[in-house]
Amino acid sequence: MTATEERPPAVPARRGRRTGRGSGGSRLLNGAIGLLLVGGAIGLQTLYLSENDYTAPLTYVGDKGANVDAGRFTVRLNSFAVAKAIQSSSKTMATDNLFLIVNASAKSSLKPYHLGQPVLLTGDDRRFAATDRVDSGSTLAAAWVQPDIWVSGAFFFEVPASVLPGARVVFGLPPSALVEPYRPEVEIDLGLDEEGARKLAAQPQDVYSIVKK
Amino acid sequence: MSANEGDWFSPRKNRRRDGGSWPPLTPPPSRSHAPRPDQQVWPPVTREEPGGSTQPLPKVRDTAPPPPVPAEPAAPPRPARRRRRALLVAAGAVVLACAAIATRTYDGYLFYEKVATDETRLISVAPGQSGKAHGVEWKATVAPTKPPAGNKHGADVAWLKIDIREKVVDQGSATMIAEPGEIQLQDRAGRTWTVELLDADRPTDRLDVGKEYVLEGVAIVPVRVADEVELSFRPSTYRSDTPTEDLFKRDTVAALEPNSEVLRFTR
Repeated sequence: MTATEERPPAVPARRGRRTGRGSGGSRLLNGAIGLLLVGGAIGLQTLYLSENDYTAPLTYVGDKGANVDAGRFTVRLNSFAVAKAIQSSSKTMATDNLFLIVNASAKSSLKPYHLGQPVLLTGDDRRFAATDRVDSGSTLAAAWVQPDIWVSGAFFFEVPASVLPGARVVFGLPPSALVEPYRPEVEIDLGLDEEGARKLAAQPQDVYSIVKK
Repeated sequence: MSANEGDWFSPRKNRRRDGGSWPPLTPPPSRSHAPRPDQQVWPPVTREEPGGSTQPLPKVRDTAPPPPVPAEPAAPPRPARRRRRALLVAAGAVVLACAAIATRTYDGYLFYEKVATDETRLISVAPGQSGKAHGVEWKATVAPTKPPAGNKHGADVAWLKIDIREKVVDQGSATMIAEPGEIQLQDRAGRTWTVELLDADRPTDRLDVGKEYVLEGVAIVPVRVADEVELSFRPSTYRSDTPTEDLFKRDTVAALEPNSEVLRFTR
C-alpha cells in the first residue's frame, strides 16, 4: 500500500468527468449551443417594439353587420352608401369625388366614451381621414357611447372612387394627451371587391341629407 | 570531396565531441564538504515489489486512515444531482424572467394610476341626507322621468332626472361657484353612465350663503339598472377670485385646495 492509493476515490472520478466533458464532440456541441443562444438573443432583439409599435393600437377585426367587441367598446357597421353631395341644415356640399357615408352603431362596456373620427384604410394601406366638411356634431362621434346602450349614427368620408375596392373602416377612441399603449380600435371590412366597388360608385345618391327631422 | 563527407551520423574519430577547446568538466571546489562518495540511485539497489511507488516518499503509517468513502453509492446519484441542478437553474431563469416582466408591468400600472386617476376621498351620503364638502352642503335625488318625444332610444333605456341642490354654509366657500365635475351614475357592478347638466342660472362671482342653488341634469341608463344606479360627483374647489393671470403658474396651482372629495348619494 502507498499514499497514492489511499486518496478518496471521488477525486479520480471528478477528474474522469472533466476529461469526458472536454472531449472534442461535446466541446463542438457546446459551441453550437452557444452560437444558437447568441443567435436567438440577437433574433429576439429584432422583435423589440419601437416607440411607434408600442403606442400602436390593438386592432379588432370584423365584418360588416357583426358586433365587433374591442373590450372597452363594441362597434357594428350597419350599412354604407355613396353620394355626390351632402345636405346639412345650412348648406349643401358637393364633391368631385364621392362622399362615403358609413352607418354604425356602438356601445361601451364600463364607462361612457366618445368615439373618434374613423379612418378609411384602402386596399393598398393608404389612410383617409374622415371629412371635416361635415360638422362632427352631426356624426356618431358626438354621441355618448355608454354601457349597454346602443347608439347609431353616421360617419362621412370624401374619397375618390378608385380607393373603394378592399377598403376598411377603422373606429377608435379620440386622441388623448396621455400616451397609452394598445388602445383598442375596430377595423371593419366593407367587403367591396372591384366589381362591387364599380357598381357602388356608378350609382351614387345625388344628395344625402343629414338634416334632423 | 572525401568519401567520409556523406556519412553524417557516425562520430568523427579525429575530433573530440566537445570541440576540444573546453577545459575538462570538474565539480566546483567545495570548501565545507568533502565530495560525497558515489551512490547507486538507479536502478534501485533493492528492487521494490510490484505496485510499489518508485518515488522516494516515506510511507505515513501512524496517522489514522481516512474514513471509508462509500464508493459505490456515490456514483449513481451524480446524474440525478446534475439533473436537479439543471432544473434549479431553469426554474431560477423562469422566476427571474417573470419577476422582470411583473416589475415592468407594475411600474407601468403605477404610472397609469398616477396619470390617469385622481386622488379620491369618497363621502357616502344616506338617502335624503345632505353631504358636506369644502364648506358646501349638497343634496341630490335621482328620479325616473318621461322620455322626451322623438328620442332615438327604445324601451330598454330608462330616462332619469337628476336634481342636485347646493347650499353654501361656510362664508369662506362662497366663491366656489363652479359646477361639480365627473357627474355620473354608477351601478353595483361599477359601470358608469354620464349625466348631462342642463343650463342653470348661477352667479359668476359669489354664491349667497344659505341659499339653495339647483342643478338639473338628465341621464339615460339601461332599464335593468335604473333602480340601483347611484349619483356621484366631485365638487370643484375653483374659486372665482383666483386671479386669471396667475392660473397657469405653478405656485397658484400648488396653493389650490385639492378636490379629492367625491360625494356619492346612496339609494
